[in-house]
Amino acid sequence: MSEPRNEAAKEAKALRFAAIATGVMLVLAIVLLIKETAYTFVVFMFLGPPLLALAAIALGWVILRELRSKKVF
Amino acid sequence: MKRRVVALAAFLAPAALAADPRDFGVPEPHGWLGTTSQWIQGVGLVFAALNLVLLVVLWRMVRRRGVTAASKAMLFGAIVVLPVAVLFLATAHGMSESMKTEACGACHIMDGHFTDLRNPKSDSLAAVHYKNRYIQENHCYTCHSDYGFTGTLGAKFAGLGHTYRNLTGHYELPLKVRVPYSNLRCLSCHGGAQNFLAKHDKDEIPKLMAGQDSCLDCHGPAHTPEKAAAPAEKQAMK
Repeated sequence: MSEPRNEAAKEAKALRFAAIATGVMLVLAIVLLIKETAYTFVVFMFLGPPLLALAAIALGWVILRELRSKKVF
Repeated sequence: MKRRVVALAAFLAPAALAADPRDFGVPEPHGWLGTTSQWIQGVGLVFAALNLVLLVVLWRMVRRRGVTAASKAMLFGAIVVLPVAVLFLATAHGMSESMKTEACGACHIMDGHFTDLRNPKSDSLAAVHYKNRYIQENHCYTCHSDYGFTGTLGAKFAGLGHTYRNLTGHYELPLKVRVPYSNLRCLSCHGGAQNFLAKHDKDEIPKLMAGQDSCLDCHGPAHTPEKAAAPAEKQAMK
């Protein structure tokens, strides 16, 4: 009984991480779009794409687990 | 009265020369909707704000009702679809803004070059190009980047190095270009111009193309930051 609950907690954690990573990327993008300086641009270019990639990986992992649990593949 | 008008004109003339054409009061064309860059910035901001709101709404939804099929579909939109658009727009905006003269002049170390560039009384090559509008915009970038995709990429990486050195103080004064300045950058604009062809011998052009002679030998100096720099910086430059 605790196994599915653990799985659900893991999924929720992954989704929370994905949402936070995307949120941070969005804040960096807003700062860059409002006030472009060499520093805001460099910070956005170094952190923005990796954060979004990590968020997409976390979301992909959740979707993959669900598809597997439903035995889609 | 007449004397006052002349004094005012004398005071305003250098400011007008140093200003952008838009500041000069030239009206935008009828039906003006803004530049591509302004649209990218505006749409990027709207998308980013919408995306943040969507994330907050989804967060609350998931906390109340748990992860449902509908929330997962919306999460895909909020974590993959919209953010990719924001990432693209913000990158395009950053790339375009970093080409502007103000972006180069933002670092304290470039104060001398930046002031010299905008000084209507300066006769340096850069200032002559700026005050006569030989280059319309992105003055530093136009002369200090090579052409094509690799040129743009190279200029961006160089800019990254400049930011690092400015941040850490790893630079030597007086500032010098890392590699000899290529005549091809000058010739890409001036090369086919009639006034250039009329004033240069035919034998001279291949030498300039090959880099045997430098345009700056006759048309330099490119910059005179030492004339524009503050006294403390002048001391450092010596």
